[in-house]
Parts: sequence; C-alpha cells; structure tokens
Amino acid sequence: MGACTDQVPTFDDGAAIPVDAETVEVLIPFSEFGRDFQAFGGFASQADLGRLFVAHEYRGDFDARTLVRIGAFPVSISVFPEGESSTVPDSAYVPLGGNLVIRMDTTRLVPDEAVELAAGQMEAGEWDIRTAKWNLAVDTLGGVVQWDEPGGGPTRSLGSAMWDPQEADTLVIPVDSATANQWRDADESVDRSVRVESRSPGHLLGINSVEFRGHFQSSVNPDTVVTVVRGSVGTTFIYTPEPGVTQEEIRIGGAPARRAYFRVELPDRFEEGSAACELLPTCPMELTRDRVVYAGLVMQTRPVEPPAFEPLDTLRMDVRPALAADRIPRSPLGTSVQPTPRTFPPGVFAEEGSTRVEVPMTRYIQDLLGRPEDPLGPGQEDEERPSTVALFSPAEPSGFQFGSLFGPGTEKEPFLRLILTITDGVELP
Amino acid sequence: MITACLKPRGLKPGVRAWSSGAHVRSFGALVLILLAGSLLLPAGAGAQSLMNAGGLGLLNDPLDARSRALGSVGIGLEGWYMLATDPSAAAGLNLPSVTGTFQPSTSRVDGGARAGGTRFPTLGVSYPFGRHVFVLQFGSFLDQEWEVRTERTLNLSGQEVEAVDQFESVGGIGQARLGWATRVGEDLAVGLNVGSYTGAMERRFVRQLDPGTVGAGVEPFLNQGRWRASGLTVAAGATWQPSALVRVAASVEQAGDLTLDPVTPTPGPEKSYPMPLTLRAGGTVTLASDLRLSTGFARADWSGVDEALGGDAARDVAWGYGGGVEWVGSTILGRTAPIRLGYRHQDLPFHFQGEPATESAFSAGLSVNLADTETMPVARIEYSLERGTRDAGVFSEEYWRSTLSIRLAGG
Repeated sequence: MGACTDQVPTFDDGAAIPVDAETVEVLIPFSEFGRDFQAFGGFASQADLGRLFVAHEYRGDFDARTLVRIGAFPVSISVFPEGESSTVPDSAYVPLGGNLVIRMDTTRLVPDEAVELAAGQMEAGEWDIRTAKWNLAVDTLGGVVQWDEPGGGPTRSLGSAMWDPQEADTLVIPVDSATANQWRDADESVDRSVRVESRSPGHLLGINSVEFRGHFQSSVNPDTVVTVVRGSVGTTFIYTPEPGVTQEEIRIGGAPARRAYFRVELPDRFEEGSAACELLPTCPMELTRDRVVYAGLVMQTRPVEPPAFEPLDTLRMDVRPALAADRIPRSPLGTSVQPTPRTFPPGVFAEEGSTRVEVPMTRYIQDLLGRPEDPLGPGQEDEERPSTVALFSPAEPSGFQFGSLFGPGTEKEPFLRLILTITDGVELP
Repeated sequence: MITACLKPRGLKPGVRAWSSGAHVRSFGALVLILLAGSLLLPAGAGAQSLMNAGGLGLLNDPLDARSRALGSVGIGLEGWYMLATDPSAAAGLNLPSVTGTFQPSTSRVDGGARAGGTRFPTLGVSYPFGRHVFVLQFGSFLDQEWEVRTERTLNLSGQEVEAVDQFESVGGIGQARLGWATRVGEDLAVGLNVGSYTGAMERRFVRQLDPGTVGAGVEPFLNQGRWRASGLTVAAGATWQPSALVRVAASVEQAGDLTLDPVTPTPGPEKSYPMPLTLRAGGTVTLASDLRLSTGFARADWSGVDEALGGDAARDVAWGYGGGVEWVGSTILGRTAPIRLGYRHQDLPFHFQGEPATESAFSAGLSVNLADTETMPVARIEYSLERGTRDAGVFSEEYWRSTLSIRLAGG
C-alpha cells in the first residue's frame, strides 16, 4: 500500500534501466532556423553614458569631442558691504573671468605622455544634447539641423593647455572676462556651450567633468571678489566616423547602441537530407520539447571596424524575446533567455582571429517547441511564445565601442547547437 | 492507495514505553530480544527490496503481525480475524471491529547498500449483521519502488560528456475488497470477498548532462509515465473445526487481469497482465492447553503473466509454505501475551535479473491481549519481527521486517 521513499532500493548498474536513451548533438545552420535578420542602431544616446571622450586621429582617423553646457550664472552674489557684518545680495556683480576646470579620467584612459587639450566657445546656436552627432546639431524626427562645420560647428578659442597624467588629474583653461560677461548675460544655456577637443594625435582620453570657476567682483564692495563654481547642465560627446550598422554583421553595444533582431523558426522535424539528419540515429525525426536538453546560439566574433571602436572593457550581451514583433526595433523586450548575460573580455574583437561564443537558450527553445507535458499534473493551455529575439548590450549605452559578430550569410554565420536525448519513452514492463 | 512516511524511529518510542511499563516474567528474555531487534532496525525501512524491480514488483501479501510471526501464508490460524487471504476467518467476529497493520522493514544486499520503507499491508473494518459479517479491507499486493542511478560517459560529436542516468519506479499495487462471511452450524464457516486492484505505477527516466562540459543552462531530460491499476479479484474460502483441537481452512482466489491504464498524457495503450489462480490451505492443531502449531501452504499459477511479460520473467507456479508455534501461557500484568515463532518460505513470482527468486524468513512475535471476550479479542496489540533472505541466482539480500498490528472491537 503506502511506501516511504527515503531509502529506495537503488541499483548502480545502468543495464537495469529499462529505457534505451541516446543523446546526440545537432548543429542547425542559421538558414534552417533564423528568419528576418535585422540590425538597428540608435538606441539611447551618448549623453546617457555619463562619460566623455576626446580623441584626435586615434587608431586611424577617429576623432571625438566633448560638448558641454555651463550652468546659468547666479542672479546675485552675497557680499558684506564695507563696515557691515551681514551680507546683502549684489546682482550687479562684474565677472572678471575664470577657469574652465576639466577633470580627466585617470583610471581607464591614461596617455603615456603629456597631451594638449583645447577649449572653445561654441557659436553654433541651437544644438541638442541627446541627439547631437559629428555632422548634426539636432537629429530628431522632423527637426534635423546640421552644424555649420562638422564636429560641433565653429568655435571661438578659449585657450589650450597641456595635461600630463603623471602630474595632475585636472586641466585648467583660463576664461577671459569678455567670455564670462557673455555667459552671465546669456539667457539660454546653449549660449554657454563649450567644446573640448584633443590636439595630440593617437590618444583617446576620458573626461569625468567640466565646470566653470568664475571670479565675480562685487559692485557693493569692489574690494570683494567671489569665486562661484558653475557645473555643466548637459554634456555629450560626438565622434567621427560613425560606423552605423550593416545587415551582414551583428553589432552589440555602442553609443548610441546597436542591436540585432531575428526570428527563430525551428523545424517541426528533421527531414532526410538536412544537415542535422546526419547526426541523428534515425531520420526523419520530430523535434519536440522533451527531447531538447540544451540549446545554444553559437556565434563567431569578428574584428571591429574601424578599430577605434574595439571595446577596451568587458562587453556584455543579452538575448531577449521581442514581445511585439510588429513594433521592432522599439518593441518591449521580455526576460533574458540565458541564465546570465554573456560577457566578452577585452580583446576578443581585436584584429587577429575569431572567438566562438555561445549563448545558452535552452528554456527559450523548449518553450518555442511547446509547453511541458506533466503526466502527473493537470493539463495546461498552450500559448504562443514570442519567436523574435533581440541581441543587445544589457546596459545601453555602455561605451561608444561595440562588439561585432559574424552575421547570417557570412562564412562564419551563427548556428544553433542542440543536444537532444531520444528514447522510445518510458514503458510498462 | 494509502501512503505514509513514518520512520521506524517513530515506532520505537511506543514500543519502548510499552516495554518499560511491563513487569517481565519468564518470557522477559524473549521480549528483550524482540525489542532489541526492533531497535536495531535502521531509520527508514520497508518491504523495500531490489527485487521490487523484477517483473511487476515484489509480492507483499496482506498479512498482519500474527500471521507473520507464525510463518503463515495467511490462512487457518486459530480464532477469528480479518485477512483477505482467508475470507471465512471473519465469520466469528460478532462485534464491529477494526484492524490496522504497520510494517517498517529494511533490506541489505550482500556487501551493498541498505534500503528501507514503511508499509500498511492491511487495514480492515468488520461489521456483524445477524449471523453475517461484512468486511471492508485494503491490502498490499505488489511493491514497485526502486530506482537505478548510474554515471555514464557519453560521446557527443567526439567530445566526452559525463552524464547521470536515473530511473525511478514509484508506487505499488494494492487491493480493496468487500467481504462477507458467516458460520454454518458450529463447525463450519464460509466467506467470500470481491475486490479491485488499486494504486498506480509511476516510472520516470532522467538524464542529466554535466553542465561544466555542455554549457550552462543544460536541462535534465525527463521521460515519465503514470498508469492506474484496475482489475477484479474474487476469493472464497471455508473454515472447518472438526474438534476443539483442530482447525483447518482453505481458500481459492481467482483474479482477473491486472490492467494498467495510462493516465493522460502518458502515451500508449493500456496493458493487461493475467493474475494467478491462488490456492491456500492451512490449519492449526492444539498440542497442549497453551501450545498451538499452525501450518499452511499456497500455490499460485503465474504462467499467464510470464507470457505477458515476454517469457522467462515469472514462474509458472509459485509455492509458499510455512508454519509456527504459538504459546499462549505467558502473561503481562495479568493479560494473556502469546509468544510465537515461525518460518516461512515463498517463491517470488517474478524473476530477478533472469533468475527465479525466493524469500524465506524466520520470525518471532509477541502479542498482548488487552481485552478479550469469551470468543474473540476486543483489544489486542501484536508484533512480529522477521529475519529473512531473498535469493535469485547469485544475488542475495537480507532483510529485517517488523510488523505491528492493532485490533479493536466493540459494540
């Protein structure tokens, strides 16, 4: 009648198992399971990155410039009138000038020699922090505005300075009184825009922050000079060239970020003559959920072009189903198909060689093949699973660099690696 | 099916308490031996055996502690009682009564691992109505709990991958019976019961590949099925007491096919296995005023199921025999406390690893008749302990099986 199962009689002789099971590996080329491959760019903005870059002829012809909007000057400053012990507001203060203080990134990007950086007052007029690019001041729907000159338009030089990373982590560029007065009188922050660029070729430099330290003379007590710090109210960086996307390549990451989408359309069965059939014990054979014990999307990395965009830090890649395929590339995404995002260490996208990477997606593939059958449980209603997946960096943007993998139709196109276990089922004695 | 998960250690405190409150007399040594044997049982016990893997499972007759202690095949014992194997034995139960049996046991293969579990081999309720007694019983039949766990090295496209295969068989087949018995005159009683097989069989195969080799996210392969048992069984028997010193009984049990129906979504058709025609006969002779000898045999024809299993999987005929002595002269606190010794041999119906299998055991038991009427017990606790072996060719396993029964009657 009843039985406890805490000490079930157990054999260790595999021959006693009354099930004939065979486990095989099957490789399915992209053309047999992937449909509608599409690559897109433009996700998020470099303004969201929180880091700024400048470069001049870095690894070829890569140039990057940082654009900053300085915050509005105070309406008044507080000063002590001569002979009095309490302050009064002074709205008629006179800017005497100041310094542009640039704090450099000394943890990730450290040049091995002193480099020269220059700053200039931007004269472009309107430009958009989130959409500005090397050639475009504004790149919004119905409102594209080009710079008067590529790279942030014309500027009026504020000066330049050498930065030796061995000596300091901050660069100071003087700002004259005329510019300071102009900034005080400017109604819009766009009129307090500064462009920072590198004049030393071959270096990629990071900037943590840019701020203005102004020296204001009191009109109430002319002997008093007050130093006021105005930080940035918006920063971004622009760069050239802009590689964009191609339909032969899977590009992940970047700023703005890139993604690749494709639809997974698994065969219902492996037919004779298919590549997979050569590895199966019998063919044709149904491809069913219960047979799939492992599924992985296998891809090959390729050198990033241009090389300036090769990731210098670990790049992560996630794969998630697109919940509304008709709204791609703006479709909301589901939960990840893999246990943890795939990480690419620096160097796998270098010029030499190609690295095989595999994204486990067993549960997702199983779900595409149907819901689990539980003979011990109640029946479950079937529901359609989103079959289009997005390959992207889970942090968009994580850097202007991106990862590159061979896309469909190329010599090293992705393929699906399946491990199947095949039995005739569990039967009665 | 009744499922429980009581470990033997749950039983032992009760046994110890019973012992500590008793003033042992001449039988004290034997009581201590019995209790010591009980305490030696490991935690987790069972009619569990590797031979559960043979054919449709390990035969587990629905016997109570007294039958086990006397080496009985379940028929021809002194007095009136409820056993599905002896339909007429309930004819004298002239008070409503209940009986339940709890059976932890353990087995160990020569030099191998230990297995164990717990069974409730028989539960019964009787109700007298005039000269007739009606009985509802649930009993054990076939144990099917076993598993295989083995490590393999697979070759996946030239790469060696470690894998663990596990096959589990869970469940068991029981019987539910409705019986009738009556006395015909002073010396003869007849009985009949009809019943159905109950329970279910679950079989599960799991293969787990090594994620370190295959990759993260590898899922276990799972194939499983569940089948529900059904089938009719009928038994009839008679008990004759030609004198105050002799009692004989016989029964015949005709079972239909045991049918295992797949439970959705388990694929495949139902499968039927012919069950045997079983003859049982036994008797008890009173050797002295407080000493009885019981013996009996059983014969079952399993040739039909052998064919259904593909041949060479079961015996054509399985014999069982056994006997024992019961001394009723001992007492505890003024209550009769019979002591029993016995031996039983049973051909197991299903071959194990291609070899015919047998089970034999020596047994001892003790009972305390807490309250008796002139003709039947009202409250009784019975205990037995068996030490036996199961053999099939070179395979051999030893087992301990303890059985505790409680009988209560009242009106």
